Amino acid sequence: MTGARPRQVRDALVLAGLLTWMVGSGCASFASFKVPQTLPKGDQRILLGTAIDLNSLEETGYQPLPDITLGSRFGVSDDTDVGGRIAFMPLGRRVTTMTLEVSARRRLVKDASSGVVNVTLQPSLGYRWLSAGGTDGHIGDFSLPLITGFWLTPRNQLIVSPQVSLQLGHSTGANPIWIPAAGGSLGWQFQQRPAQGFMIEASALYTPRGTEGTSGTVLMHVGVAILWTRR
Amino acid sequence: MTTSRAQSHRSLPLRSRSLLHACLCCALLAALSLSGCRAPELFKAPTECAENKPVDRTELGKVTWHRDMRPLVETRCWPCHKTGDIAPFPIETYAQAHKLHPLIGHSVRTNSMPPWQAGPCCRPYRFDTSLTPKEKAVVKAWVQQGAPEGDVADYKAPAKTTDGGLSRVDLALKGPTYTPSAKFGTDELRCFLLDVPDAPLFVTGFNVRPGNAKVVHHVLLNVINKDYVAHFQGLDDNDSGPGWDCFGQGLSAAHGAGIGGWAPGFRGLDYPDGLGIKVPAGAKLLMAVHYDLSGGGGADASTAQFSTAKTVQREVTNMGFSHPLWLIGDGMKIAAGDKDAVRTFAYDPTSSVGENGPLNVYAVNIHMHERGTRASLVIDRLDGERECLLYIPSYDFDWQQTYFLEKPATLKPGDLLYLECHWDNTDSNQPIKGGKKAKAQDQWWGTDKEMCTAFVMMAKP
Repeated sequence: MTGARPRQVRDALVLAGLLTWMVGSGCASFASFKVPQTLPKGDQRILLGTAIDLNSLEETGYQPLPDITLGSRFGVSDDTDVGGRIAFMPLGRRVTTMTLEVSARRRLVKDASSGVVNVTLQPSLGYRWLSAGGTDGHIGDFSLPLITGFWLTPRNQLIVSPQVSLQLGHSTGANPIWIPAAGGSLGWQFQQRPAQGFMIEASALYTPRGTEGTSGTVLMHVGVAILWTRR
Repeated sequence: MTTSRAQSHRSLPLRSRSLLHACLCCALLAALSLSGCRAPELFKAPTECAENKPVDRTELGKVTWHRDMRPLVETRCWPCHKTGDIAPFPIETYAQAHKLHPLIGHSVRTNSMPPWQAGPCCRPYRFDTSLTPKEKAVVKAWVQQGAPEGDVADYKAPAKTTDGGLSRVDLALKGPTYTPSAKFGTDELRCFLLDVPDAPLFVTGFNVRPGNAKVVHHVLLNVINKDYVAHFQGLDDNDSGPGWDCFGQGLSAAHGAGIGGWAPGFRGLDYPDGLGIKVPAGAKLLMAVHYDLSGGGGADASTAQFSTAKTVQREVTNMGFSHPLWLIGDGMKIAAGDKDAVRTFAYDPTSSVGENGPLNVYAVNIHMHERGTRASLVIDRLDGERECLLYIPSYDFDWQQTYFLEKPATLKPGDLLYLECHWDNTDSNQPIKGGKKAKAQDQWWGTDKEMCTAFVMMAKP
């Protein structure tokens, strides 16, 4: 007979990476690859990117989780565009995720004289499906980033985007959980040609949600993307 | 005129295209959501099997202490109920047994003694201390007949058990001498960090020799990886006296692997041939000793014993698993007043631990807190069959233990480990705190709240 009354074992949870499929793979990459310039009416933009999500949960061992992103946007007026994005991470039965996201961008500020500073609001709604080891999870997300771009040179733009988000996670066998988060991202866009640009983006969101004994979780995201614009 | 789908799509105006995309997204979302919302069927424990078939007490005839009860007590009760051991009273003589016979009868009727929570008809285990139906019938008949003594000449010493035992001791680590005191109730949980001079090595079996059997209720052994040694050494340094008070402190996978636990009656064990738990270079071992002072006091210096090897064929993984959402926010919320709250989780460890290959399960345990009432750990086979690993029909926080399967169960890729926990969160089932029974409150995941975790010892075949 072994191990009676293990108070010590109460927290001795060998989570074996299970948390990755919820927090690690689930939360960081909503509302990513943000650019402040809205598309003129009728223009279309295609985005192809790849990113790595990771989080500060100790139990996961900071495992980076890659995904591939494909996005598209359409200009519906001179100051407004709409778009969608699909991201997926096909790692088989271990972890597979797919993200769908729709958003609208409304340009709030454009420096009319120089065009150096642009400020845009991009409310977005997202959904992520996760499957790991035969179990499914579902995450809904509402994010509200405020995207501010500074043209440092005619081809290089620094993008700073504070952001708040609210996620709802659900999986069979558990109650739904709300995950509020706040943080921001820092991006750099290099516009190689009028129709083609590249960007690098890193984001960090803090949520007070975390495992017992922690003061919350930091959700991180680093990605690169190429953007094509068709007029 | 016919048009291809692509032509038709291209011909749509911009707004219609966006609408089409949105509709496709919604349909996909709906399909994915529905696919994940199937609630699993709750586990129905098997109730009919040979080991659960009651014995007709009238067929036993007259039952006496010397002929029937004494060998049974020596085998089943003496691991704890002997002078100088942890139990609060000995049952060594007829006089003692006769005085206690109503309590003995009650304990057996309610299955509270010997402490063995695994329900019948699930599967056979090693070191099974539960009474067989015939043994139960003997005890009940003896109590019913007024606990007669019988003739001492009828006594036959019971055969010694051959199950368990550590085959050899390669490494003995003695903890420091410590005199426990009552820190919570009559108990204290004290942790000691032990040096492993020959690491790296593999632990292939373990046992514990309590220094003071009157106070050592159980001992847990865990590897502490090199990166965390300084952290635990700091806890030790900051606490006066040897070791540190580790009540409520937790360990995670990153800290190191669990080796196993000892409680009175456990004779040690060798892991199955070729299996071992790794103790990496620079690692230490943590010995957590639960002291219970209800039966006595005094100093203790317990010793952990190990058989070791420099290499093994397969490394054992001790995985604890719970639903990840339970650990966050309201994910495991149990409402106050809920008489039978249920949470379930299913997971295929072959996709991670097994690297997409099969896994053998050697030992299992389920951990909840004081409001837990019953629990199950089951293999949900890909073909729809269910194989019971552990069913606890009447959960008792004070008597948790690891159950070693008599024969390993094999998990194939696609099979799921299914965990089901039940709680009674009404006023009538609250823990005693400060001498008073607490009022029912909403419960979440937490050291002082509730948990539901299965611990599974497994390795690749």
